[in-house]
Formats: sequence, C-alpha cells, structure tokens
Amino acid sequence: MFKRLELHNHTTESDASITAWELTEHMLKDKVDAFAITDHNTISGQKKIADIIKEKGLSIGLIRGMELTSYYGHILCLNLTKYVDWEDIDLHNPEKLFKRAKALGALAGVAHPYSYGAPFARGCRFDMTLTDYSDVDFIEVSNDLEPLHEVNERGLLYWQDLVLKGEKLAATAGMDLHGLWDFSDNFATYIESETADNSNIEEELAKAIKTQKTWISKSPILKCDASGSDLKFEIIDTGKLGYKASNKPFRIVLTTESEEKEIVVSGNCATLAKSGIMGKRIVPKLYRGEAIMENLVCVSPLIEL
Amino acid sequence: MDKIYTVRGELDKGFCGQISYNVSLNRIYKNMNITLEFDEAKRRYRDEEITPEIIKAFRDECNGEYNIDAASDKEVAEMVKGNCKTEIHISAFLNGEFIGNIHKQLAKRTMSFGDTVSEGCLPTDVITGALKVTVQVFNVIKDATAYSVTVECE
Repeated sequence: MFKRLELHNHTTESDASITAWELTEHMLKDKVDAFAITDHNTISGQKKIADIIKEKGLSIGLIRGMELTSYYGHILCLNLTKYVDWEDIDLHNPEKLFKRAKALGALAGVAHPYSYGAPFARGCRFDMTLTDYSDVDFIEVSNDLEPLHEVNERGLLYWQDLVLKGEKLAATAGMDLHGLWDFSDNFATYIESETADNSNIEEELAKAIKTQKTWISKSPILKCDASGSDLKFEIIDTGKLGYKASNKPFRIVLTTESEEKEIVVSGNCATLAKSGIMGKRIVPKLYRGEAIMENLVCVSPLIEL
Repeated sequence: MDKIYTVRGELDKGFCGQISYNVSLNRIYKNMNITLEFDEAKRRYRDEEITPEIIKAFRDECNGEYNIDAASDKEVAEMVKGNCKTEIHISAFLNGEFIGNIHKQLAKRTMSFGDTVSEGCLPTDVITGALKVTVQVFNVIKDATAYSVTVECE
C-alpha cells in the first residue's frame, strides 16, 4: 500500500492562521495518512499535535519537524525534535546546517529552491551554494503554493539533474500550508508501506527518504519494476480526494542522462525492454495527456540499471 | 513584572543579520515576557515613497528574474508596495537551550514563558541563568528603522 504524507505545514506557532488542532483536523478530513509540522524556526507545536493524537486516539501519523528559515534559504527538517541553531549561517557553506540537522537525527532537505526570494521575500529562494550534497536528504521539488513553471518546474529539473548525475536525493512535495487550504489536485508525497499502522511513520519516512523511494503524485502512482530484463510499469490510483482525472491516456516519460523516451499507456500497465534504453539512470514521470508540466501527475523514484 | 532591560537600536536600510543580547538572570523567576517592537510606519512603503530610484533598485535586485523585464514601472511599483517589507523576528535561548521564536509578520510581538507559554515558545522548568535574545533581521527597507527589545520577569 501507499501512504500519503503531507510534509510541509505551518500553524499559529509561527505565521499560519490555523492552530495545531485545526491543522490536525484538516489533515483528518482529507484522509491524509501522516503529516509533518514544520513551523518556521520553532518546534513548539510538535507536542501539542502529539498530545491531540494521543488523547483522541487518532490513527493519523505525526512527523515532527521544523522549517529552518534563514535569510538565504529554507531547510525543511523532518524527524526533528530539537531546534537547529543557524546563528552562524554562512552563505557559502550551507553544508554545515544540513550536517547539524542530521546530527540531531533529522532528515534535511532544500525547501522550495526556486521560490521568489529578495526583493519579494528574502530567504524564500535557496540562495546558498551547495557543492556537497552528501548531507542533503531530499529536495522539495513541488511546493504547491508556488507558480508551476517559474518555481516548481525548475525545482523538478534541479532534482532530476542531480539524481541523473548520481546524487542520492529523494523528491518530496508539500503544500506549505498556512491556512485551511484545499488539497485538491495538488501534489503530495507518497511512500510504500506494508502496514496501515502509522505509529512508526517517522521510521518509515526515514527509510523511504534514505533509499530515495518517494513518489510525488496528485493521486496516480507510477510503480516501476526493474528486477528483470524488462522495465514493468504499473499505474495505481491512490484515491486522493479532489484529484481531477482527465480522460486522456497516461503517458510515461523516461528521462535518462542521454535521452528522453515516451510511452503512451493503454490501460494501467506498460512494459519496455531495458535494452531499448540509453543510460544507466532513469527518472520516470507520469503525465495524463501531453507531456507538459500542467499534465504531470506523478514523479517516481530514480531507477538505476 | 520587573523590567530586566530595554535595549533600543536603529537599523540601516538593507541590513540583514542577527543581533544578540545576553544577560544573566540572577534570580529564579516564575514568569518572563520578551517583547520585540519595531517601527510600524517603516514596515512598508507608502505610495508617495515609491520613487523611480526605488523602482530601479527593485528591478536591479531581481536581476532579470521573476519576469521583471516585462513589467511596467507601474506594475513594479505595485510589486514594491505589495511585497517589500521590513521583516524582523526574535528568538530566545536559556542556558544554551532554545526556548522560543516568534516568526510572524507583526511589528510588535511578545514571547511569554511561565504560567502562560505563548505560541512559538516552549515550557521552561525554571527561569534563571543565561538568557540570550536574538533579533533576526531578515530585511530592512528604510534607513533608521528603530527597534527595541524588552525583557520583563516576575
């Protein structure tokens, strides 16, 4: 089974308009399996939500986190229970902040790398120069608050370029929720799970992120099996509420280091011989209709041949 | 509440960085408030303040991004009015441990600890020892923007 995770959310503990309880209720209404609390530079909401979940006996999972919000970029920290100090921030050495977050047990990723920064909103764009990605766990390739082409398409291409070069980076999506916003037709992060129980969701997330097995999807999941001589693709509908499915056929786009290959899918399965692919690393993407950003419905984990 | 200190300062346009204040709380306190306030009147540009120089500076800072080259001066003026703001936040640490941060778009805000713990802040067992208050200056759009930090305890 696939679990839907909402990994980027704020409350009144920082600058959102919804309380910890309202955020939890909003997630429950949309049938989210687990969600993160990632307030700007504070962890004060974590216990409040954990207490709500415990007191009410809710099955929804909580991922504790914080959005390290600096002048030069935002770092999304998940599975984090302590504040990450960034007082010694250095535009030319962001690596030390990722290292520091990881030393506290967190998963650390670049949030909305191409968001509008200064002079619109200083810090929202990731202006720091990363040269070593070994302590970066993920890139938030889709931030649903942001413009599709100017921000999210660039974020997707940034991640794709890095993983095709061999960097070990998971892709995530998030709403960057600051209010009771509609989840419909937006991307969420999905991980594969063997249990419906969400009590160990942070461990499940860590495993998925560290093995780069995350999907970002509007609802359909493109699952790839590369164990045999063929690549076998299966499209699985997760039933995400509000997904506006078109009647157009699915189209799979496989991007490698050297080529891009398109497969129009009739039904929900497709097969392609590995020998027909030039490249060792493949980023599979699923579209509904023409392969343009507007029709993108799923980005799957990197396949390494 | 007893005032432990008030500090005041002025920030130049364009300043970006952190300013920390350290003090030893020599008694054990039950409650503590930390207030940051800065000049609300200097938080945004008023229409009459948006000069051709400010529009040009905004364009220059965009450096060709954000479709800025396609925007008219009137549109850029609207962007300046709608987006440019002085943004200052505050965090607090007690004996080296993080105890709170307020990251809200407000010109005045108070962190409360003790019987009432305000949003963004963590409960503290005891209020005593080394208190560090850090003013996080994200953006300053006008010269001589005054700010103050006040710490009060009881």
